[in-house]
Amino acid sequence: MATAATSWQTIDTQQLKQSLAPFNNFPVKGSFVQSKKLKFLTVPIRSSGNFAIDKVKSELLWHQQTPVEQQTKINQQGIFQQKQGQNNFVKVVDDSVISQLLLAIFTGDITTEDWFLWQRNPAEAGCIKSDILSADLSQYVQSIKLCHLQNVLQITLSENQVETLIELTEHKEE
Amino acid sequence: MTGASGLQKLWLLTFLVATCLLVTLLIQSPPTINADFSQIFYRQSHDQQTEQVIEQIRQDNESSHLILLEAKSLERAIEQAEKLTDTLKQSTLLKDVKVTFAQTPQLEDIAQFYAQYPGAFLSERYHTWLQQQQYQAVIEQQFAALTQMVNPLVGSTFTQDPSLALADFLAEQQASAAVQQTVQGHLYLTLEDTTAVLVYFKPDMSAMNIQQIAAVAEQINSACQALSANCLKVGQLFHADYASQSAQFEMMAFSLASMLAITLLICFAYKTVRAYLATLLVIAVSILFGLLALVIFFAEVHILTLVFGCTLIGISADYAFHAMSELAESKQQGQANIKGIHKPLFFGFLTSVIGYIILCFSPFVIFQQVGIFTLVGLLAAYLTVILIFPFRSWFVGQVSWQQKAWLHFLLSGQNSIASIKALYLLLAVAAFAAYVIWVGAAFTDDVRRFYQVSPELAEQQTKVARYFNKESNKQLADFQFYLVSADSPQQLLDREKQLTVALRKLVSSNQLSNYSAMSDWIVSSKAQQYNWDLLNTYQQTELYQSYLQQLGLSYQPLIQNHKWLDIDTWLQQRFAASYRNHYKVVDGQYYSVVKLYGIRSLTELDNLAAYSDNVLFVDRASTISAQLTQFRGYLLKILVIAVAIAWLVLVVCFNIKQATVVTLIPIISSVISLSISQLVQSELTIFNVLAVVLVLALSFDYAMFYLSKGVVAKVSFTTLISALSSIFVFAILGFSSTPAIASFGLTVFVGILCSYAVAPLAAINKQRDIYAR
Repeated sequence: MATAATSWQTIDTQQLKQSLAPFNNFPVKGSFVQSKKLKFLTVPIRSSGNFAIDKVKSELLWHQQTPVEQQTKINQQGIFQQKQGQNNFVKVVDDSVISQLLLAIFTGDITTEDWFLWQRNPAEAGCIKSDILSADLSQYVQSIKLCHLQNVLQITLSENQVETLIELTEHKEE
Repeated sequence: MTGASGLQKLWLLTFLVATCLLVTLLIQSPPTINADFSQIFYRQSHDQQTEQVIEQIRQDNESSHLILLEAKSLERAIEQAEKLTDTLKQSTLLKDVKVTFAQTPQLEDIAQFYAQYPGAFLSERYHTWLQQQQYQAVIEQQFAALTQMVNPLVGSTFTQDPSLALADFLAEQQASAAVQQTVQGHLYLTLEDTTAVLVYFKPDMSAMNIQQIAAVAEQINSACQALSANCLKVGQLFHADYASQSAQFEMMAFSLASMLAITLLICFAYKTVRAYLATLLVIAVSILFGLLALVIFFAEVHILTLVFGCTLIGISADYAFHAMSELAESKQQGQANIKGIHKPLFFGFLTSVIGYIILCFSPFVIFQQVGIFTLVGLLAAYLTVILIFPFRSWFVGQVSWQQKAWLHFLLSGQNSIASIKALYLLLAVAAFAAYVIWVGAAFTDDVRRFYQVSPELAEQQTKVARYFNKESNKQLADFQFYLVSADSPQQLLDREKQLTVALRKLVSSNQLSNYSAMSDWIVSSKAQQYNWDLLNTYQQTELYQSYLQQLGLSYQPLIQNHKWLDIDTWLQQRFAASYRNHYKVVDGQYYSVVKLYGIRSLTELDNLAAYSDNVLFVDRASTISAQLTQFRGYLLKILVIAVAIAWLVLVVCFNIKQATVVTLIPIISSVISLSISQLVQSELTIFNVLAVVLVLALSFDYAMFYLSKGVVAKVSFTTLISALSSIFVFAILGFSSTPAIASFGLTVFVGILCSYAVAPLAAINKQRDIYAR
């Protein structure tokens, strides 16, 4: 394990461009499966649903269907939620920095932000990871890992005591 | 020429004593010059103890100053902030200069602190669901939180509280907003592509006079200019410095302009150095006595009093002009004296006294100061003219109006005004002006609009608010808050909680952007016990047990707290630091402040306080504005009574017809000046009404001379010189950057212009020999 951990290497601008290419073309519509591992839980908490990204409006719609139905809207202003039976989206996170981080990841606009220091590991082809450099952001997310595996994109968000793995599958138009 | 009489010797003695006294007082206990515009109209409106608490809160608010050092990079901003801090630390008048701060709390720290009190704190919705046994809603919220893409509070609190009640409570308080970004102790904020580092300091404002304020502000400004980062300054010191610089400049400019105008008028009218010196003597004596009265009666003088006080120059010079004209003419007739103008001079002085006495009895210190200063100054000027001018014909200037063609032309015009036809015409104009006021009068007594805040400072303040993530419509209300009082801390928290429940409704109905209350973070012991009972009951339900099973957890009983969280323990926490000034204990009574953001409905906020004797809505600006409105109403009534009394006195001294015509002159002038002010400013303020006091006084003054002497060259000439000196002074005031002074200046300017034009009406039925005495 120690060997694998040390083999993550910082990548230069040219390499970064190449490594990020698959993530610049994130699916704009698809389904997701999320698996959340809490340190003190033996079973991960799974959820699933659909998502849609509007790159022009810079907005992510996250429609969770299981285990509870809930719609989340993430834009530059913050994170908003709409519960089942409710008409309006209610702001649940006022700090816009976290929404900006999530939008940067989902819209693939992750090169310009100076929050990241991207690294890659030859042993994990198709994956890049970065610690979050901003102190403000690191209270939410400490590191991010992005993997591009055939038709699935994986996002791993590491928080304090929690690791969240999100798998995105693109909906292809028939 | 004769030897000095007893009265003249007494005058000289009084003058010498007053001069010595003033010099001594100014050296030994000089009055503090106050340049704080927020305090200008303040007067107590609550009981002593409440006022004491409000004053403490005001001082807390005003003592904190900050400068954001804004640069493109964090490193540059830190480097420049440290440089500035070194400079600020050199000043003995600045305390607590800080650029680095103790480790700011992390979300984890806040969560761990609250975890020590299991079950004691519930969010509003958890409280409602548990109280109404809507346990399914709780379960759904638990899963919603657990599956949320990012939720740091779940990770921080789950081990201690799998029901996620604490996570929901902290989420409701926006606990993440209490976390601040620091680098090596430097607190920094980001906005677009710039970063700002915070420098904090506390100037000892109460111990600083305006020179020291100016010196400190200058020191900070110079230090900022030498830096390669942009300084964004917030604090009372900077506003006080701007106000004082601006007022001092205007005071100097207005005084110089007045003196220049008077010099030119004397050159034009009296043509001698002696006349100039005589006028200077009257002005100097009036200012000396006015200042002496201010120093004796007030320990603190507002700088605005001195700006308004400049008008004394123009008014006191009037007495000198009348006396010099009378002396010059009487000398030509063989004996230099001013007996011929004793009566009109006295009546003119009397009407001014009535006007300024009204100001002395106003409930606002600023008006009292202007009233006392001008009243005593005018009394000194009047006595100087009456006692000293006849003493030496040395004062006599060379004045000759017989040969002046323009005066002949002017007199012809004035003669046509002194007619019944003109009276009717002027009454019609005044009636129309009154109609304009009646239809369009929009009185505004909003105290915040009476002074101008530096546009540069206002811009910097807005930017600082943006750095702190506060949109302009959500900013902290300007000294508007609730003050809750109670006999014990527990009672205080319960009362504050009741208030915040009502405030939440106002926030949800968009009548308020937000509020900040410590009872959102801490509730009374009784409420904490109640919350614990609610959560404990829920945790024993089958639904909760099944939730735990789904997560692979076993049931752990909710720990019973040995002690509940109290205010003092909570306030010691770093994340609660910003609430320390919200809580006050005075003489065994407990007070808390609920701050308000983005107020949209004052009435609703006022109504909330009306339900309880222990909740006070402190809105200093609105309270002062309401007091000013009330005072304006009283003032208008007093003015009507004063005019009626003046009419009665004139009826006794002259006759009913003359008294009525003379009384109509100030009324016509006042109505026209108010209506023109209304048209120019599109609203009227207390300062326009105050200006009417002066317009009435000066109008009576002019009218009395025409009533006594008729439209004659001497009266016409002297009144013109007097009016010109005053008109010039008040016209300059109209250009003041302080809206209050500008309003006052405009109305008096128009009023005097009208008074001068209308005053010959008083000479109806008088002789038309224009060169008669």
